[in-house]
Amino acid sequence: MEALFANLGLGFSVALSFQNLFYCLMGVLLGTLIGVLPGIGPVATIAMLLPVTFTLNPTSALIMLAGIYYGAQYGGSTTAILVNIPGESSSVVTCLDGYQMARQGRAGPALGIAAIGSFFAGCVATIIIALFAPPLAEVALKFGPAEYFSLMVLGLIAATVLAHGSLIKAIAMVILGLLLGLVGTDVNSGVARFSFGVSELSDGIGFVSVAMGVFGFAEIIANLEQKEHREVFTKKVSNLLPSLQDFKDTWASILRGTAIGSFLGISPGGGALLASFAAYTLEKKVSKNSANFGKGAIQGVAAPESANNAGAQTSFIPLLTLGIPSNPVMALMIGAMMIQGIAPGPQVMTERPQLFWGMIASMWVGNLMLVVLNLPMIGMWIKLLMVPYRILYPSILVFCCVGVYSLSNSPFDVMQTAAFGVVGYIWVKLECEPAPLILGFILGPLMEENLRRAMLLSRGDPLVFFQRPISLTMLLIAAFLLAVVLAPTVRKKREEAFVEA
Amino acid sequence: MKITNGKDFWAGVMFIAFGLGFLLLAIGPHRFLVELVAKVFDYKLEYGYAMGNAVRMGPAYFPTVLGGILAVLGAVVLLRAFVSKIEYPLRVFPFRLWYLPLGVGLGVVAFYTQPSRDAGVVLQIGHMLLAGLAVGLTFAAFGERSLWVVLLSVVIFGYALKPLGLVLAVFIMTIVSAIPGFTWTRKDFQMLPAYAAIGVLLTYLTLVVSPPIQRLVLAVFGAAGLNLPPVLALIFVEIGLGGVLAFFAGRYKWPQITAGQVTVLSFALAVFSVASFVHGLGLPMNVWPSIFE
Repeated sequence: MEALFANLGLGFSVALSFQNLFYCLMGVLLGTLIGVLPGIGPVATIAMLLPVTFTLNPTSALIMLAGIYYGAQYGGSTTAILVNIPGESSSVVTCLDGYQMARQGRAGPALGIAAIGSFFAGCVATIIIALFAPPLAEVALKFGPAEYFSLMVLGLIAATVLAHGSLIKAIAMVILGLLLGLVGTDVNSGVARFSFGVSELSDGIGFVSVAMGVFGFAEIIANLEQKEHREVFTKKVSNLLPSLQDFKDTWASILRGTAIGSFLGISPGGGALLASFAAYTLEKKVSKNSANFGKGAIQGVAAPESANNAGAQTSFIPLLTLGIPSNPVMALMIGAMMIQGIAPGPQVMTERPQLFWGMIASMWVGNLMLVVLNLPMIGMWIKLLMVPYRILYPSILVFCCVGVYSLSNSPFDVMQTAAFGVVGYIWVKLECEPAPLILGFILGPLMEENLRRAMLLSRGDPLVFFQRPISLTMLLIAAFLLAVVLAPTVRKKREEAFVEA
Repeated sequence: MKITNGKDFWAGVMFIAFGLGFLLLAIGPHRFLVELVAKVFDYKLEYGYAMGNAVRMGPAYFPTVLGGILAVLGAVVLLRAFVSKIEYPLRVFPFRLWYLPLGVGLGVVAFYTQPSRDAGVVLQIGHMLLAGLAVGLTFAAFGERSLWVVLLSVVIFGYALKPLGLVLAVFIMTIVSAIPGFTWTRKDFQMLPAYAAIGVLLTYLTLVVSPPIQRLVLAVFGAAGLNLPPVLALIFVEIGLGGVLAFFAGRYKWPQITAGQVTVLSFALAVFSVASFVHGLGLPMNVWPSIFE
């Protein structure tokens, strides 16, 4: 316990330095901005800003990027409640009840409870990270290649189970991602694989290009196809503070949302998106008020909003302790760490305690800033919502393109991104979820490396994955997850849950 | 047998194609194929990596296994298209066949007529337009207008940045990419030169004004003991400007805005963002066309 306080003290001394406070503010400001604007999410934004972080020191860079992710969760709820468009994918379920509340003239309390719930969840999640990360990192230090391989299998399986739509398509997307990740020079033999003699490809396909093409360009195109119809409730936002009765109604929902969000954030494949869905479903089951859900129940705003913020933050745990990303945003964070010359993994905590604890402490500070940014300054964000998307997207495109171009100062990266824009659009049309692909893409080389090492150590005996207890446990959990999802009743429920939302 | 779910059908085809493609490239395609490619395209296809064994895996081992699994999964998805209860027509994309050979043909021409580095500017720009047209037509063969117009603007930007410089490249990109969002009237086109002039003037002012602002911001933060990277100083200024714009935007009646006005507006916004990158990161980008320098 004493060590914990000492560590947190160190963390706050780092996070409260003027420089890091500034970057934290920049991060949450940008996060709220892109969260409010529909059609641009944290993945594209972080990908865009990766080149900028070259010039920063690692701690500040990561503090800023983390701020973008959890800041987007706050901003997304504003759009969901006022316009009935999820500003961010994880606030899809907030639309259901939040918008109805706005129509009943209760937009103020809905926004207020979303921010308060998020802040509470953020505080709890910060403590959870501080408590759970160190012991997990110690376990992770004992991992051999076999354990890492099984862990990645588990992570990827979990990501597919939790993806929208067809399970088999999601698994196929993961494998496609792994294969795309293998493009480039093979570490062991030095052979440039699948590069077709193109020198740019021998370094591998650029991660930023894939993320920007699939999540940035493809999304813009898909948005343009839909006719915009927005009804913004601006005049009716007054009285942001929820009433005492509202607090009485929602405190249990906030607690439940936080708990489920924290848990799902840690689990592989989890994150903000899944957390909000799960919290809404649970709340609908448990609440006394369940008949009112979908018609403006305040619990239906409080629970998913708390859950997505908790999930966004606790998903940093697998990244910081195991070096394994659980969702595309964390995959980008790995990219950012590698740019700075830090190998993600359990050794980060011992070798760079300032970075590790500084980042954790900054999350709490960032949450505090977000409450201030969101409640009194809500009018400014609403003004921003009035600008139609068709006016914004050319600037977004230009910014994306210059960001990609500046990666290696050649048109090649821009072309590559455009190509992934096409492919990403095809995937959208064919209902193939791209998120599992991105995870596979990042894990591809790592997975091959660990498989090779494990097989070398076991002299080619594949049973090694079943003989080591930790590895066996993970594979069993993965098999169990698959079995559960394939069971007919659960399968039906899962489809219903996603359709409903 | 009838295909009920068109989406599953095409997804299955795509997965099988990717799976077999990786598999064949890893273990090496048939010799006939390699020789054919070598004859037709004058290009030696690299093929076949060392397989190794389970103890010492060669570079081909993992991709072969994965490619095989992907092809099998693709086959399952394909089969499912025949028995699926969800009905979806086979025409998932609005496919226009005649665009495809045209685009590919122009692409081949563009590939073989690549001008040398010291060729004239006109030649280079001409080649760039040809290549852009080829890619655009290929995109246009399948997909909605928004798909190919947006991506065409991206491709043009990528090609145009070096010869035309940043300002013109951004201007072309904003005009092209603004097409799917608006209906352009004749008046908009007539006004385009005027808008372009305003845009270039705005850019010039931005580029002249931004370094002093940047230095001012840096000095202010420097006095407070914060060493700010220049690019962030500009992004900071930009967010402030965005706030001011958003404030005025709230009073403006958006539905009445014309396509041309939008172009100038987004151009100004975009140039400001770009200026921050160029000044902040010190990228070696041409700002103006290379003829002027």
